[in-house]
Amino acid sequence: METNKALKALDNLYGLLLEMNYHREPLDFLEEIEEDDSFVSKHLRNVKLRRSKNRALLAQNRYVKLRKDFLRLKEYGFEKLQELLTPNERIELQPLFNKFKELEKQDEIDINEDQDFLIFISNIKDKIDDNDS
Amino acid sequence: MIKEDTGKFFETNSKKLDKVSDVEWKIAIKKCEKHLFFKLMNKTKFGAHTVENLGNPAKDYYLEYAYSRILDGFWEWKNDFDLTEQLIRIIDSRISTVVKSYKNAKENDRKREREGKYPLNTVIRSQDIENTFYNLRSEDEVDETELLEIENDYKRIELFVSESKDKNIKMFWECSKEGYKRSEIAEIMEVTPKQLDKIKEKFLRQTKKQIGKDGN
Repeated sequence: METNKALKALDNLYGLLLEMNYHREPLDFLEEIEEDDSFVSKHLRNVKLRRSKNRALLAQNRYVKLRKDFLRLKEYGFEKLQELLTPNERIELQPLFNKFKELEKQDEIDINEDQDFLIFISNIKDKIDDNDS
Repeated sequence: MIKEDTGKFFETNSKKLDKVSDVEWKIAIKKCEKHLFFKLMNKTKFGAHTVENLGNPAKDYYLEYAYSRILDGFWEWKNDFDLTEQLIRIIDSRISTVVKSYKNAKENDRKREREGKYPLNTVIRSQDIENTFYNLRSEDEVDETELLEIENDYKRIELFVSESKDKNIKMFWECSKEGYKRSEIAEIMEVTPKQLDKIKEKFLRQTKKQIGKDGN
């Protein structure tokens, strides 16, 4: 009986502490985080390491997807692609078309950072999709 | 080829994670650590949450599991929750799953032993079930030694509170024993939740000396 009472009381207490912890304002924790908190430092380090790896993986995935789109566009044919554009667009997008023709694996990093080229691929893809439907 | 070791929420979670600062991560880790401390109080020496079963100290295991699920995109970080809330939900779900798997494995082993076969090692199966704060014992078996520890903790707190002259400490303990929730206790004690936080901190600081455990 005494054991049950103790169990119940402490379960209730820990339940309350869990609830209070859950609702506590994040800013209230600031003063509790000390520079030498080894638990926090260890896990923050781990999180940051994994984030770096994941960022690299994201870039790689993005390139893989881009390459897939590129191969699809290539199958469509450059001349046919040019026909989808207005004369002005053709002139404006010529440098990107040249890049498109020369796309190689070693360009991976450049391409991932080249927002104009990514938008270009995406727009051309949309035009084909519109044309096909 | 797209790598298979990421989940379907990898990209959407990553976009949200880009906006999380180091300080926000530190707060989330601290809050989860405290959550795990209260959640696993007196439960890590025997059974499902031991190093032997998890392969790591329970606090590390569950926290790492939670942020890995978010980082690798296997668990959707929903818009309704901030980082800490989302991590705590994953932690609670995992604890529930581990306990269930442990109990099932133990039951299977008992059955095998009854049939004269060798027991198998515990296998953790994946299920996602939410658990609630005030339901701490619903799935756990309590070991004899743990029971003794719980009784001793309880007696020490009772003794400390009975000798205390602080009305707030007495009221806080009485209310929590009865199972009142945060908002109810704040109402009974006629204090704001923030003031209740201060009372709780004081209660923990003082009882820590009695039960010799550290929630930080």
